[in-house]
Amino acid sequence: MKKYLSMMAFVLLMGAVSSIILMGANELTADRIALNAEYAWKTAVLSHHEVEYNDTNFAEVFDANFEVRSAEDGNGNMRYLYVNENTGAVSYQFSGGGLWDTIRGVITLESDFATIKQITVTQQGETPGLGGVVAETEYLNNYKGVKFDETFGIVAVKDTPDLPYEVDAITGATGTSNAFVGILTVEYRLMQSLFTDVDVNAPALKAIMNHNDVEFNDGNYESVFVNTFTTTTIDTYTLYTHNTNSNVSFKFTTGGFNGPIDAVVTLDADFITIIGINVLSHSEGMGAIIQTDPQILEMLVGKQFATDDSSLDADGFVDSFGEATTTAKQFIAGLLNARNNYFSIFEEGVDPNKAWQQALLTNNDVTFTEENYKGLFESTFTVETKDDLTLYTNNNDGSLSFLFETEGFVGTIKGVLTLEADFETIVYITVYEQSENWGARIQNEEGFFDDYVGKKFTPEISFVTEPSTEQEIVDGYGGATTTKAAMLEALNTSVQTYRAAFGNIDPDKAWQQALLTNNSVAFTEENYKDLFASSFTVKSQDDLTLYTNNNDGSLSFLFETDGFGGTIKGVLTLEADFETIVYITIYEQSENWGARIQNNEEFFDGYVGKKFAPEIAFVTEPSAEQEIVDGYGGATTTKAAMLEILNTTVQTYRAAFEGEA
Amino acid sequence: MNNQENKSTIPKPSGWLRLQYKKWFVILKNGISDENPIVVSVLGICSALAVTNRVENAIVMGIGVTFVIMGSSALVSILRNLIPSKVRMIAYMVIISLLTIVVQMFLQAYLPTVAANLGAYTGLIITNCIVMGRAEAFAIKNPLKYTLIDSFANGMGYMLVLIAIAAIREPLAFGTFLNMKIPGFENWINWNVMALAPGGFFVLTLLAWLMRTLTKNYEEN
Repeated sequence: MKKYLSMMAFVLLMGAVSSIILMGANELTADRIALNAEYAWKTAVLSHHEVEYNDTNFAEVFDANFEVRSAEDGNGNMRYLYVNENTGAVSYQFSGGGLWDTIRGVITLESDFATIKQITVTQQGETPGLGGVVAETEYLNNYKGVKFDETFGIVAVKDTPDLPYEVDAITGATGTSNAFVGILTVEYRLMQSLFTDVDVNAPALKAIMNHNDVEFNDGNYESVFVNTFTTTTIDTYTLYTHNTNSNVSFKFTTGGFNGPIDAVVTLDADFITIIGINVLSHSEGMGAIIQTDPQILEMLVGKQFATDDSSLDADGFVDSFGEATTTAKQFIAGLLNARNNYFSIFEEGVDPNKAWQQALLTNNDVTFTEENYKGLFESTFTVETKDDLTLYTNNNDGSLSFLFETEGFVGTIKGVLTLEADFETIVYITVYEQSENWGARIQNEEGFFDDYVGKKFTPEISFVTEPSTEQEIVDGYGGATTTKAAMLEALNTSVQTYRAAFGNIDPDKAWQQALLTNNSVAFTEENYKDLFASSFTVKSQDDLTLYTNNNDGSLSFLFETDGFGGTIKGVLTLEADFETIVYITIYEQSENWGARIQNNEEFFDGYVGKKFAPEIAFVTEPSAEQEIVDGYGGATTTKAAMLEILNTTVQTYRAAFEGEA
Repeated sequence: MNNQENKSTIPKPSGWLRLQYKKWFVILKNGISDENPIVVSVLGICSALAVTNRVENAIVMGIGVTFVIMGSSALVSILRNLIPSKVRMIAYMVIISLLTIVVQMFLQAYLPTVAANLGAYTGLIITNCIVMGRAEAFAIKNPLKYTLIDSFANGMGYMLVLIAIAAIREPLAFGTFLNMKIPGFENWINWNVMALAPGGFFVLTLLAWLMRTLTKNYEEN
């Protein structure tokens, strides 16, 4: 035993000492490390622009030489562009996922916003000697003079680069090379869209014209496009139809190994045969060949979609990706999905809102067919809009539904969450769009959300292995941790947002209704407020409030105590003698075993008529009028808390109000 | 008198011979050659494969590992009478990680260029089995003086093998030595396999074979 204790003491001591050392070291070094990081990228920028500086004045020199422009990107992050006031050359910081770790750095472009002046990598964790070469000046010098291409961005090649947008790949580190040029390209496109008036749509338009053998040049491509194609937009879907050959083109986004892949495809007038296809942007590593090797996408040209919408014959295509099968498979799946969407919307006239409207009906347990869902949707729900939030209230049972959207592991997850009228209890959840890998079960596995039914956002839900409270739900995500985190976040925040916007729930509702229940006053959701006002006379003394029933003189008051799991709140009603129990109602608790005090409707039936003379007690076999049968089972903490609070509250209220009452 | 004469006739052992029986020398020799952590004990080969495609990397990694082995072994040795045997492994882990993280923090704060050059190595050092191996095999039962010699010897043994492997791989993979072009290698066609992990496997295995044959170190049942 002594041995055991000394071991415990050692472990605790070791933990404490090492924590203190780590905290101390962090405290000592944090500022300097931040300063060094700032020093690293600012001096890199200064040297790119050939500006003189020294270690003490670099920050001032930096501020003096550059005009800072800022803009917010699509995710709400601020992006900064540093413009050299003399030369017009621009610099910005970039970052993105390498093969093993985040790669960060700064890049400087000439004033044409396309030609690379210099690149410095300030942080990376690639394999030393292989991918790690990406940070070496000697390698990065290869990028000088390379020009971002409108369509390809920058491409890493194994042979000698001969096109203006090609650079040498790192020997033996194709994955890192491709990821790196992918980061540069994606970040470049982002900065270009934020800070220049370049038409970001141009690559797509040009690709579509190439697919249709339309001749154009950089000066006239916009007008040629407008004259040759008809643009049709339904909801968020845009289709470009060639005026003479009726070929159809559209842009689409698929999942990938590292991130989304944007692409554009042209099909024949029947949406069956692929006429042309191009990738516009991606950040794949090994799978980068999808854009860099033109022959790979060429394999898809002439392929046909099966008329039953179910497949695209692409076996050879996937094989040609070698190891990067995820990229190929995600791309094909996304292409098929996009084609089917466009086909059903533009060719079959299917409503693009179908998916979520049907999901809403499913959640609300309304049976529908392909023909009548639209009518049912309109007749079932009352639509309320505030800012950009829309709430669908079920006309029959008052259930509340709203859409949520989040970024999962691969792509966007869209779903519908339906809550009961209390804005708390889950009716059902349906996911109607996703492109996850392991996490795909949230849409494909029927009954995945069955465990969620009846669980409550009080105020948030959580995923655990063994749920014991009403806000805990069994974690069914397996290894799909990113999907899980995204879903948890999306559900909790959307409920919060919608509650704040629409949930003008009366905070007094719970206890006022409990008071009415104790006094056997029947009420509805609409009239409880009026009944409450008319049934009771309210007397206050200090912070104590006594509610006297106007009809029979019963006395009620609220009590509050800490139970095993959290606060227990309830109402105790006594007869006018301040002694005999009329009833007890608990309206808030988060106990485990003791939850029965709220959930078991008959739990307090045994208390009726018992007397605080002067105190009550819980016993197994009650014989006196102050003894009540102990119904708490193993919930001893809850029991002790309840006994204590009931007895002391009665005493307090007696002292304050007895005699007057 | 006779006795005196007899004594003087037995030649005094040479300095070299006497040195070979000093405890500190035995420990040093064991670490570097007889019980070399890589080729004999086959510890720490993961990092040996990863970083030996350049001599420069091998040297940096070798110094880093030597430093951490010495630091952690010294701490373990000092605390060896305090550490309860049941939790000693955890104690090693805590000491090693603590040491590495603190060193990394201070490097990043005060010697950022060195930290940038070390890059991913610091993380690799924590996972190096030699560090833990020496703590368990030596430091936990030996005084500080010998522990320092042992950990230095093992670090050097590790570094020398790393450099030996890298000295074979770098010229074959890149036609360079310590990043400088080797005379006569001007038209060298880079042998990519040597830059990758499989190249490390080949060279390491051949080297271990050679070393074991030379030192007649055979594993027998």
